[in-house]
Amino acid sequence: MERFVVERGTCYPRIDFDPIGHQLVIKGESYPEDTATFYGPAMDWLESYLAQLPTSQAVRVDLELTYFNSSSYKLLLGFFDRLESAAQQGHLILVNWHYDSDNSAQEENGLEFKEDLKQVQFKLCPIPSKTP
Amino acid sequence: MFTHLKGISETRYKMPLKLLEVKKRFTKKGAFFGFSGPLNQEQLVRIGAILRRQMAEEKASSGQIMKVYSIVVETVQNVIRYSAKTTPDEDPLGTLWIGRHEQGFFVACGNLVSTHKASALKIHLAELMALSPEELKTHFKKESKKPISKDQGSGLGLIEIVRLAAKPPEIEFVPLDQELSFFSINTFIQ
Repeated sequence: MERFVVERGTCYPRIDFDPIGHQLVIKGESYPEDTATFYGPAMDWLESYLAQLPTSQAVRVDLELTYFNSSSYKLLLGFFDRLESAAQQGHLILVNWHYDSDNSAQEENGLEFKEDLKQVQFKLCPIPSKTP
Repeated sequence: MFTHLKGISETRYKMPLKLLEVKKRFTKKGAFFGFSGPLNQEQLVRIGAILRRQMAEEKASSGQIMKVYSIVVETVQNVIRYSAKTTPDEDPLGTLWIGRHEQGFFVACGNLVSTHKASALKIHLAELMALSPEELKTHFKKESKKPISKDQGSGLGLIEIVRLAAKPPEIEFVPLDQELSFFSINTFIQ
């Protein structure tokens, strides 16, 4: 499988899905004009990746979203749903939710996502704030 | 359509602009950012950048900046998606004021809507504003599980705006003619 990379834009995040290192990274802000079109290829890639993934292989997901709009939230729910069903089939999936420790909105979002995931290991990873 | 726009160029020469009046009203309302014109995604990105800088100068907390930024993104994307337009190729027109309100901030946004859509929007907003914060959260979650539609967006924007608001937003519908109304929503955050 080919690595899937989208460079960060003004209103969408960097996406780097690496099928060799088994690490999926989404980092930045997300409020594209058309969320479904923007995330479509990434979701398709994820589908094919999970379909061929050996059960013994662990996958690490690193998400660092400083801001996302309401339709990106909908996409994230779909993303987590897909990971959860893979985890239910026996895949070991670890999600690291990175957020600035003073960004309470992203902390709350992380807590909510964590609540809904049963088989996916979901870890909140606060980044210490730069200013005291 | 757009009969109310006819004759604007003629009156412009007969009447002085009275820009000072607009400026006074702007300042009196506590506004520090104003925009009126075509809105699109690129414009939203630019507005977002200016807004963050200005709010930092206004000594807003990072939480307040995020809330105002979220409301601006959701309202402007609603205008881009749902506003009535003069021609299909043109960007929709929107009017946006952002400013201080008591200890917090306000985001006021207005655009044209077709009158038949206005009544549905009115009912939808009244329903949302009648919900408690807990009910809004549940409603938001329920709606987010529905499949996304390419033309209509996620349908979550208004719920998110009402959720983030410190008190029910001020809503206004001003009928302009039989086909169009001017819709405005003024949201307050703490």
